Parts: sequence; structure tokens; C-alpha cells
Amino acid sequence: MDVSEYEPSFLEVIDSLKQRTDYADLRWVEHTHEYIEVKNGEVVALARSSDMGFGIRVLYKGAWGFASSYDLTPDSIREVADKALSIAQASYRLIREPVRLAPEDVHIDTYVNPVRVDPFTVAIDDKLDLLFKVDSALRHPHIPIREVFMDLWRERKLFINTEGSKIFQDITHTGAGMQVTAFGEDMQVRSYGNFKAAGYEYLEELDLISHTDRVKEEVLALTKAPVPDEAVKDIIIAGDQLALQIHESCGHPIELDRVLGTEASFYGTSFLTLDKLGKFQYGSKHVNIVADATHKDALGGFGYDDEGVKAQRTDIVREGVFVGYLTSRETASILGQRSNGAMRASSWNRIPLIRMTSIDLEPGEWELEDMIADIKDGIYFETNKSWSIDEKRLNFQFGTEIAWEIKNGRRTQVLRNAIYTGITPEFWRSCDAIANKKYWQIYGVPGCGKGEPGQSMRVSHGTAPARFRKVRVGYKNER
Amino acid sequence: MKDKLFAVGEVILNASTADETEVLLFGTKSQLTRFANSVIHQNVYEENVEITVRAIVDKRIGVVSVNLSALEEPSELAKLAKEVAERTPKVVDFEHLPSPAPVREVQSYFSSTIEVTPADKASVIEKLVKRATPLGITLSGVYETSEIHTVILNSNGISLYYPGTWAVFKVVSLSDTSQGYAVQCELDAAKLEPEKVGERSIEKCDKGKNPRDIEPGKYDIVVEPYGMAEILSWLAWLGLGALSVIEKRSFLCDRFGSQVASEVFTLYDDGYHPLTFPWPFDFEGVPKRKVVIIENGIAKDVVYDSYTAKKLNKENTGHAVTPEASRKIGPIPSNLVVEPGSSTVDELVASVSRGLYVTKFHYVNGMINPREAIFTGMTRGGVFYIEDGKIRYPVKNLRFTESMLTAFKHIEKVGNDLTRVGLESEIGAYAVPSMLIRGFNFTGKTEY
Ligand SMILES: [Zn+2]
Repeated sequence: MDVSEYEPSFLEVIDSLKQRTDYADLRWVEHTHEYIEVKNGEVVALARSSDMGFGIRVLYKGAWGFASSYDLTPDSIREVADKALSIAQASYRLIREPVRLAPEDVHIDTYVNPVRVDPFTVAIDDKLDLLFKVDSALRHPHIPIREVFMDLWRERKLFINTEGSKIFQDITHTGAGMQVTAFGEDMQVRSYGNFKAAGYEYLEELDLISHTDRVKEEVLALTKAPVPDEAVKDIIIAGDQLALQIHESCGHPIELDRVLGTEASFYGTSFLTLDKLGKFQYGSKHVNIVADATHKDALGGFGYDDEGVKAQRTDIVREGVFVGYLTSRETASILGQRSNGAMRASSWNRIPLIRMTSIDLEPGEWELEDMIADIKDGIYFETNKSWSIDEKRLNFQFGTEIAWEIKNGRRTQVLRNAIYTGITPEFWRSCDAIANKKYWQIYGVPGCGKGEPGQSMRVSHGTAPARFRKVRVGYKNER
Repeated sequence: MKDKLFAVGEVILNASTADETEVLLFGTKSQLTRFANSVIHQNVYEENVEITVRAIVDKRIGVVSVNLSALEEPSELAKLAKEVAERTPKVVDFEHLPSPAPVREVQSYFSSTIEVTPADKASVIEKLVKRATPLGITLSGVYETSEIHTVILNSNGISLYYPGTWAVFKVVSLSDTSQGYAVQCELDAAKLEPEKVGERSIEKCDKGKNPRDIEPGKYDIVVEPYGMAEILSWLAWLGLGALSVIEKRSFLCDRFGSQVASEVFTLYDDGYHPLTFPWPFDFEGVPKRKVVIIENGIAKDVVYDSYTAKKLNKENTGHAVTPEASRKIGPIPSNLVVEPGSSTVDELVASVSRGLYVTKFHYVNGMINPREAIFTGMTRGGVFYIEDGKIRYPVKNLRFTESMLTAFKHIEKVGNDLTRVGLESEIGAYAVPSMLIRGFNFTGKTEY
């Protein structure tokens, strides 16, 4: 479908809102999604979906209103605009400070991420072939559940605002993965996969098949592995688990809307309060974290955010000191800044909220072997399995699919159901080594949740393995 | 809405040349006012019609979904679903789409709910803010009113319509040192008592000011319905559906017929229970049956859809999820009910000599060891120290790490306060009372 068909009505309605509001914007979004899953040699999901609609956000005397609809007839577009305005008028009854928007340049632009092979034109047969090949490679008499999936996603969207911006974006994501389940004393899983802003060509690079033997061996080892005892140990966290660690303990608490309390009724607030900006020792001097929406190949990358602010790369933690939030035009103005472009909406029927872009830990100088060699008695954690963190993002507990004991500088036996826990700043301050560029990679996280009504967002994290000293691992429970 | 859904659905069904075809349509309208720092910061409206077609060709299954604006030509959708099916390998043990069966009447639609305006909501919030401000308390929360219309049609003659309405008023009160959580979910917005909800939340926050430090360890807990419901929703996904039993992922595997909880604990799923979100049939159009899952502590059964019932030679209980997900995750109970006991909440508290009163859990996760149902999570929304049968003072939040199989065996008393608790990320609700659990294992603490 072509958005140009609706453009005249969109422009007309934005023009009419210009007279009646402080500010208004309209987003038209079309999503196409295909999810295919093969489980134990059978196709258990082959689902295609597409979805389209528009939403109008208005600022009336400093109060927000938003309305949206699937109905793209000119009458409906006008009705939705009026509805958004009347909702804003209701909001106006209960505001303290009128919302002010930080200035932003007018952009008239198009952004398309690089795609060599359009995943939606690849034949179903070819897709199934690939999944079946991986499925057979995972076959093993002691592995009762094999799952292999492919997830293809496209977002085309048009943004128009009363300031004169008009931005069209066309973004394609390709992802795939596999998971095997086996039983010993309990149930064990091992998985591999990733997501990238790319076309179908990414599946070649991901090369699931070359990981099948490792994944099988590891799940079988897990079924015979011991559970680590509760202790305080030096630990190394592999890149994929570190992506989740950054996501939960850095990415969420730096969302400035959350810091200002607007997520308090659901996911919570943040320990990174305004007084800490520029002063707080978030981590050790080795820790440098950036928010980088300029990656063309990452799930957290784009051309412009959903307020029409250009994608940026900004410092979050510099040599351990907390120096920046993720912001919107509204929240940046409170800090006297310009927005760093983190407003993202999951679809046409949701307002943009401050969301992660690509929150990346910069690589260090270390070789992984040297990091391990310096540990006498420790644990190496890889691939997230369980995740929980308090509502201010301080006390966390994460478990991984697999862990290895480290004894006298060597990775030794496999450990199952391994967990580690800590308090965010204490934990990041105990970081004394980060692996070098060679180990650095971007991990896509396709399902980050926030907001009421709920919004699922696609974000990413660049990481390399890192070492943390004296961390609490395991848990005790005797009856 | 009803006529529109049937009109579109019938065109698709009639256009299909597949062996069997099913059309599932959802029409939704939703208005949500969200407030924080005692001001309205988000006020949104949405309207959508979503359509999913499942086509069967020689035991091959194709599923395609669109929303109404992405649907150019209804008959094209039938064609596309058939094409997807034709390219898919056979599902050998697939039999047929379900056939019509009598569906019991139950009412979930109340027009009072859709009559609540954003201005009404603003007035309610305004009133509560006036009460909270002098106490140094700010309010956050949501006031949501939604309607959802479902139509299911299939080529075997199923033709069902069911409308529902949904109203939620939630208030999270915050002071510098404390939080109070309260919520009410109703199908009929006329039954909402926003003042009471606000009052409860504000009072809890006020009483929770300046919480004391507390060390992790084992504590008897009295947990409100909200806390227990979050645990039950994880359990439902992990192990209360037949596919999780077939695949041996369920914590109930090898435990059917044995004691998995204390004798006072009975859990069932009842699609008609008025304190859930009653829905008389599942997403395949099969009438829901009441399923007793745990009876007096003994593991009895799980819920089934057409595929898993056939596979295990059981009765279909009408618990299919949507067709995109049904073969991946299998049936899930969505109307869980914990049989209430006879104790008042005060009596539960009176039975504790040293323990904690817990309002709610936060960020519960059950993936550490699903077969043993080992969960972790934080407390939230107000935690209080109980001594000698009385609530004494507020304490800071704690993290628990505990097997729910162990915890459920230590449920000593169940409250009589059966409450509808809305699921947090979808429309749906469980009916859950407060409970007294002995020796709940807390493993960590935080700074507030
Ligand atoms: Zn997230």
C-alpha cells in the first residue's frame, strides 16, 4: 500500500491543527511481520501479518492528547484529529506546568536501512528449507525439544508535524534463532540467535547451522551439571548476557520520562535521579556507555525518532561517571537541553515514549583469556534465562542458560541454573576488565516492554565480555 | 461493530476455497488516561479491527492476519491463507476445525463502561489529588475503559459473537520514602469506586512512610490478591496447559495425583466466573469448561484445546489461544480462580507471630528452573512488618527466590476476600483471595 494516497488528508488535518493547538504531529505506520517456527520437524507457526493506521498527537495549552484509528478515510482522519484535541482539553484540566518542547530543526527526509535481499520476497519454500536443515542438524536422541525460528519485520512510517517536518522511514529487521531442551534432574535449555536491521542476507552471516553442534553438546552437558552454591565470586559475563545486564540496569534507568515519574504506575521509576547527572559514580573508570541510534544495522538504529528528531550518538556513562539520559523534546526542555532523539512508538496506535536506542558498552583492551587467567575461583555466565530487577533498577537477579566454573585461571566444568545478583552501581563499580573490539558485537532485543497501554520495542546493545569482582552468585534455600 | 465484523468475516469465509477455513475478528475501542506526579501526562484513544484467517488444505495449516485498513480485498486474504497452507508440510495428527456446540450465556458487556469520558476520568483523578497533596503524596496510575468484540466463524458452522467491556482504575501513590498500590477492575464501570481505590492507595503510602531496614530470610507472609495473581500468571504460562505436559516442561509432570500444595489450596479455571473476565468460548469457538487444576492441594489436570485434547485422548476444555500461537505455546487457562477460604485479612495477619504483609510482587520471573517452579521477584506497593498478629511498621522491599511448589505447600490459610485481579499486559482477569504462606524465602534487599 502507498502512503501517498492519504497524504493530502494528513497534510490538511495537520494544517487545521496548526491553528487550534500549540503543536501537533501525525504518524502513519504500516507493519509487515512474518514469523515461522519449526518444532521437532513440524511447522508450528507460519504466520504473516500486516497492520496499518495513523495516530495524531496534539499539544493544547501545554496538555497532551492522542487519538488513533485504522480507518484512513478523510472523514475519519478529521474525526481523529478532533478527538485528539478534545482529549487534550480534558488533560488540560489537570496539568501543573504546561509542556514545553525543546527546539528541533525542520526535517524533510527519507531514511531506509540497507537491505540486500527483501525478506518478504524470499519464497516460503526457501525459508522452510533453511529451518528444516537446522532442525535436522539439532536432532539427538536425548534432546526431546528442538525449536528453530525466523522473524522478519518491516516498518514503513510517515511523520508530519505542524512545524513543517515530513519524514518517511522504511526499516527492515531480520532475525533467527534456535533452542533445544533436554531433561536431567530438571529441564535445561540452550539457545543461539540474533536480530539485525538488515535483509534476508543476514541469515547467512548468522549461520545457525555452524552453531548446532555446540548448542547440542552444551545442553547435554547441562543435564549432568551441578548447581553452583551460594557464594561471593569473581565473574565474567559473556556479551549476550551483558546485553541484558545493560538493558535492565542502565538502559531503563536512564529513560528520562521514567526518572521524572511517568512510568511509576507500571514498570517503576529510577535510582538515577536528576541530582546524580554529571556527578554520580555509576561504574568503575573502565565503564563507558553510549546511546547510539546511528547504527544502520542495529535494532536500536533509525534515521529519526517518532518526534522527528535526528538519530544521535550520545554519552551515557563516561569513565564510570553518569553523564546523560535518553530524552524527548518535552523532557530535554526541563534540563535546558535539546532532545537526543529517543522517542519511539511501537505502532500507529501508541504515543511515543522514551525508549532505548542501541545502548552500547564500549570495548576495553583485554583478551578474554587474560581476563579468565586472573580469576582464581569464579564463574563465567552466558545467555540470559531469567531476569528480574526492582522498580528503581537497583537490586537485580539474573540467571543464565549456561555457566562455567573458573578455577585457577581456567574455564572448567559446566554449571546449571546459575544466577548472580547485586545492586546496580556496586556491581558496575566492580568491573575491572572489558574485552577488546575483537569480541564486541551488537545484540538485538526485539521485545522490550514499557507503558500503559503496553508497547513492545525493538532495541539493541553492543557489548564485549566483562569481568566483575566479588559478586554474589547462587542462592540458598533450606527447609 | 457486530454487523461490520460479521460482514467482513462472511465475505472471507465464503471466498475461501480451502478444505476448512476459520475467521477470527476482534474489534476494539479503548480510551486510557494515564497520570503521574498528580497530573495527566498521557491521554489516548485507539480503535482497531484485527482479522486472522486459518486455512486448512490436506492437513496443512496456513495462518494470516491483518488489520482492517491493511485489508485491500477480503477475498484476497482467504486466498493468501490458502497459499500459505499449501506451502506448509502436513501436520499429520491434525484432524478438523471444531464444530458448533451450545454456548452458555454470560454477560461481559456493559454500556456504562463505554460512556465514561476523558473528562469524567479527569474529575475523578482531580478529586483524589486534592486528598493526597496535603499528605506530601503524589499520584500515578491509569483509568482505562475498553470494549472488545469477538467474532469467530468457521466452515463447519461455528458462528459466534461475544462483546466485552473492561474498566480499570489503578492508583500508585508515592511519597519520598513509600509507595501504595491499589486497583479495581470491573466489566461494568458503574461498579468502580475510584474514591475507595484512591483512598486505599493513599493510606497505604502514608502508613508506609520511612520504612525500616529488614534483613532477608524466611518470613511468614500475608500476601494480597495482586501478589498471588502475578505468580499464578507465570504458572499458567509455564505449566497449566496440556502442551507443557506433553513436552514435559510443566512442573505438574509426574506430580498428578500427588500433593503439590497444602490442603487449603484449590485452583480451577472457570470461563464463566463473574470475578474473572467471563468469556464463554475460546479462540477456536469451543465452549469453555470448568477445569479443576489443583484440588485440596492435589494436582488434578490442566487445560486443553482441540489439538492437545485429541493428542492425549482427553475432552477439549476450550482453552485454545489465537491460531498464530496455538501450536507453539498450546492452551492456557485465562480465568483462574483460587477457591476462597473463610478467614478475613485481619485473621490472616493475626495468625502471624513474625512476618510480612505484602501488597504486591514486582518483576516476577519463573525461568530459573521451570520444572521445580523456582521463582524470583521483588515486593512492591507497600510491605509491612507483622509481629504478634499485628501490623507494626513499614519495611523496605525484599527479593524472594523460592520454589512455588514449596511455597504452595506452606499456604496455611486462604482469605475470604476473593478479588478480580486484571492481568497486567492483556485483557483478562483471575479471581484470587489473600493468603497466608509460612516461611517464604527472601534472598535479597534493596535501598528503598
Ligand atoms: Zn526492557
